[in-house]
Amino acid sequence: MRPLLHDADRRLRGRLDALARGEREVLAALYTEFGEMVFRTARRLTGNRADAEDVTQEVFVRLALTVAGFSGDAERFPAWLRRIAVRTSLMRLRSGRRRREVDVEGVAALVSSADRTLERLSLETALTRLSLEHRTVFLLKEVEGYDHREIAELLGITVSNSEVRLHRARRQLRELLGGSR
Amino acid sequence: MSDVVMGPHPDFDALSAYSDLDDAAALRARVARHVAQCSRCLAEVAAIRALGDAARALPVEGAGSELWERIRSASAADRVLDPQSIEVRGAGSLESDHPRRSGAHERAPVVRRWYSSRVWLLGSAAALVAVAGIALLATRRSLDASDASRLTFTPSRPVPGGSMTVRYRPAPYLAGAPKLVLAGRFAKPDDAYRNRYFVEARDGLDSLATLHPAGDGSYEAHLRLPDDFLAVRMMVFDSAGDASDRDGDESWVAIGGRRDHSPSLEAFIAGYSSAHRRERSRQRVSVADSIQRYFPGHPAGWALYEHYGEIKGVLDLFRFFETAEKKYASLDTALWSRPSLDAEQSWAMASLAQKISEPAEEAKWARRLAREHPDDPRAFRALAGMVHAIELRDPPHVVDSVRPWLPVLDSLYLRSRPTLDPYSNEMLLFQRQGDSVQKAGWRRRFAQPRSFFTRASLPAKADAKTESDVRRILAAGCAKPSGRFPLPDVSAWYRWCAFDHSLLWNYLAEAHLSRGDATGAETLADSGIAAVAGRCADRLSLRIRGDAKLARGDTTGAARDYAREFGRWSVDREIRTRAIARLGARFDSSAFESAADSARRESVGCLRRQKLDDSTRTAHRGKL
Repeated sequence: MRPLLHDADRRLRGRLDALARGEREVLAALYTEFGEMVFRTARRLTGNRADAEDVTQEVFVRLALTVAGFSGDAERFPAWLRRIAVRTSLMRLRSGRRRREVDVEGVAALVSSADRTLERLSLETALTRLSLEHRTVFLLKEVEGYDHREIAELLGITVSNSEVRLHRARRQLRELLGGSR
Repeated sequence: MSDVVMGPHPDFDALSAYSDLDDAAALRARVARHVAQCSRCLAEVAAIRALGDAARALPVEGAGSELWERIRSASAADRVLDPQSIEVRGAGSLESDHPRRSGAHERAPVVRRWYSSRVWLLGSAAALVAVAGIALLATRRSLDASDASRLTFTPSRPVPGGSMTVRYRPAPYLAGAPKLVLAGRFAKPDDAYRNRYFVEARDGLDSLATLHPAGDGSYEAHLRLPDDFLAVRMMVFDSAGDASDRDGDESWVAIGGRRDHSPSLEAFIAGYSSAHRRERSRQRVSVADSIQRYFPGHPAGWALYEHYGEIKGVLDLFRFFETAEKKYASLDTALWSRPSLDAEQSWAMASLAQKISEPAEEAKWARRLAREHPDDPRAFRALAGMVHAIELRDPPHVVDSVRPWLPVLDSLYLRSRPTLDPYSNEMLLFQRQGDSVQKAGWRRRFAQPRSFFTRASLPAKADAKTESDVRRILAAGCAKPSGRFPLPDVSAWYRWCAFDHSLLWNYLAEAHLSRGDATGAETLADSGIAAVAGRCADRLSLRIRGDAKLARGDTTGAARDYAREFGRWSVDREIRTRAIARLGARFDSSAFESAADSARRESVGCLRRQKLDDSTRTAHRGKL
């Protein structure tokens, strides 16, 4: 007889069902496993720690409700969750409700290191100088690994618009980093 | 290497696109040959790719250890909705939290993306249609039915106690009649807050005036408007009631103003309620637009938009970046701190919060509405909506979470006596969650001798007399409804009657099944399916028939029925879970999905046929 569900799927399904029932320990376990991934995704996209924390909180607080929308197997859960983190980050960026606090720790970290950090600083600085729409497409494509079709769907733009934004982002980065043609 | 040999260098965008291709695709690319021979372009491609590598290599700080604590406490706060924390004046049991904001860290409302890539395509198409439409209709100030017929009225904003002249250019099948009847219904202020599951065009119409020939092929009627006039919806009938005309699928709606002809929010809302409750109702969209235009600081115009995320009108092209969430946030900031609000504002804010999927915000406004306006019917509805939201998100502990609210709701109901249908959400909420006394009380309150959705007024456990009554109703069939205009639009009546009968067949089937008569239950469920044949509204019948088959030992048949039920309503994962639970090891996932897919395709076919039927009926209206 064929198994109805694989073990990993069954385990995950059990955890998600428990989460939907309000079992906090499950939320804690899921946070332990996936919290960093969600936070880092949000941090990259929103560009500041406060927003990233808000996004991470949003994602996990609402997870008990949103898991109802997940019907895939266990392997797909991280990608599904990351997509929610991306969506929530994008929504936060669009909403205009971003936190305006200066990220003191972040600034201190950036200005206190040596050569290797200077190289990083230049790329990070260049990224912050891109427009939001260009930076978002660049990060979604190059760092998060989404293709243009997925980016278009996430941002509500056309595929060709996504491509154009990526090209422009790259061109601007090349110019900002001093390597323009 | 020279440009003469290789041709001009590709531009940056071409190289950028090239850098994204995988190896196989890159080889086929138009610029591949050039890049292979041009060190400069090759270096550029490498640099572009290096940008991505560098971005991926950028270190990202981790989440702090305190973040989990924040999430844990926010998660706990999000789940607590204590009925003892609000106060209904006179009811004396509820505390106020107004206007204090809750929590040191306020959770921002979730911001949903309500536009998609398709919107731009649809938007462009809509813009073209709109431009063409504006060019064609620039001189019309009327409500147009179709190319064939048209109804106009003056003044454009009629006033209470005034008069209104209606001019009708007839559809071909009504042209030449010696006179026509303008039928309609004046909106009542409380219409907005009735739960109307189906508002058909002829629902509650009465004769308003006679339309007489005006000499140019048109017909004209003069109406004296009541002193409390808000809005009126209208249809045109021939004098025998055999043929009718209306505004496409909707009635014509005229919305009044104040006595000084200025816009009236109350009239707009009444007009909104007069429009049909259907998806993408252009009348409703138009009213919501008008409210936003004339009353920009009032939340009603935003709350009354029904389908965020879909195209609702040409003007939506300009609203893509004006999200409902942002609007909610600004209205919330402007309104919440005010010492008192009128019921309409709190109600609209609760509705808007509900539309943007913010249950905590919805609860906040519902509680404020109940506290400040306990005698307003909207307070009961808003609080019931809040309780239903708890019901939806807390299924395992729902009784504990919901039951404390039921006495509060009952008290609000008795204070405001809102109009409820027997199958309303509120009625069903009590049937699902109430104790036996509450269930029986609410059933008695809304029991009707003969009505659609009679099942809601039937006892949960069938007795002999009830079964006999149900059989008698079923035996009577769906008789033609009587009334002033008996012929037009009867198909809608038959449709609802058939649905009602299907529910009654299911009721009997469940009764037989509970007595162990699986064969009888299967036959009765078959009748439930047959009653709504072609409409794909047989989900419940399929489930009951599946149960009956399972009780008979026909596992394959049961699995097929469960799968068809799932295919009819695939958004409900519970159906699949239940099928697994009932079939146990006999559940075959691939067979289940295959049957569900088939049912899904069947449903699409049903919807298409239904749409075709409706459009055919519209095209031949008057000939029925």
